[in-house]
Amino acid sequence: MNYINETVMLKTCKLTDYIAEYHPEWTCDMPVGCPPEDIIVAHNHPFFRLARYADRYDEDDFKSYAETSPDKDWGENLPLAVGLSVIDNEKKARKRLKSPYFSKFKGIILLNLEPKDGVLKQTGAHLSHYTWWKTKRFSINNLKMLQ
Amino acid sequence: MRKLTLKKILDYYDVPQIFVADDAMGTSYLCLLFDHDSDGFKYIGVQVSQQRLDTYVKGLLDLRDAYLSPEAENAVFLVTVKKEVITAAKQLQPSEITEDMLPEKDYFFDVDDYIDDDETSIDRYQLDVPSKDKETFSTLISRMGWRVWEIGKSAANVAAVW
Repeated sequence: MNYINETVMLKTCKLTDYIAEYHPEWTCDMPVGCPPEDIIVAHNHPFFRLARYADRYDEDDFKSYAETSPDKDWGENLPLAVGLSVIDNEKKARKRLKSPYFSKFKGIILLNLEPKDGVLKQTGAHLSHYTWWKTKRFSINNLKMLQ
Repeated sequence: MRKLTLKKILDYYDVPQIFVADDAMGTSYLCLLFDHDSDGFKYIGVQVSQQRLDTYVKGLLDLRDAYLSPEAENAVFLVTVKKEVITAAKQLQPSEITEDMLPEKDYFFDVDDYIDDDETSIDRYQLDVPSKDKETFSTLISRMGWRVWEIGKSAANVAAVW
């Protein structure tokens, strides 16, 4: 299935340049050095995130661990805890539903991220995995649930 | 109860999903997240030889089999992570391994986009591409499964590929 119907691109960018252009308001307090200086900005680029239900999603599907557990001491993991994981490949996102932790999850949300939505960086052991630091301008309206 | 030391995170989504940790004797545990609560994260861990671990990372071992058919008896543990302390908290008997701890069948490691820090598995190139060929170039590269990141609007419209 092709979700790309317009020019899409991931552009590398300096965080300072991004802040100067978009004046982002992050969804939670960011620790020092987070997001990192070398970031990626998505221009109508498809990403996928797991959802708890097959046919709907809500704000809770987009809350980071730092947001759901604000009093917890995340230590060195705080920069990742304030971010959200997204996958750039539907097949790989869907495969995660086989793991026991995500067996309670039922759906896949398609996100076509724009610069206003926040910044990303490829993290983790797989090229398809990105950490997304989102802004308050990201809206959960009009996202697509994939069956 | 054994304290473990994180060796490598093999899969990450919001938190580490699969990791390898060693105990004081150097035995490796392959750990898979199955639950979390206010008390911490719960993983199912199995003691693995380096050979078995290599087999898994090569995408040749179904993760479900790693826990249901371990290399030795008494090799499966409940592993907890609390405040970054990793503990093999309890040995699990076969009857104690429940379905909610296990992945579905055919849950193999994703090899094709794995970044192995132990190897130089990715080469990065910088190419000069004429602006008029940008679309053709992007199409060709995406068909190969490579990555294209436009790193600047220089005079030569430089693009980085990996």
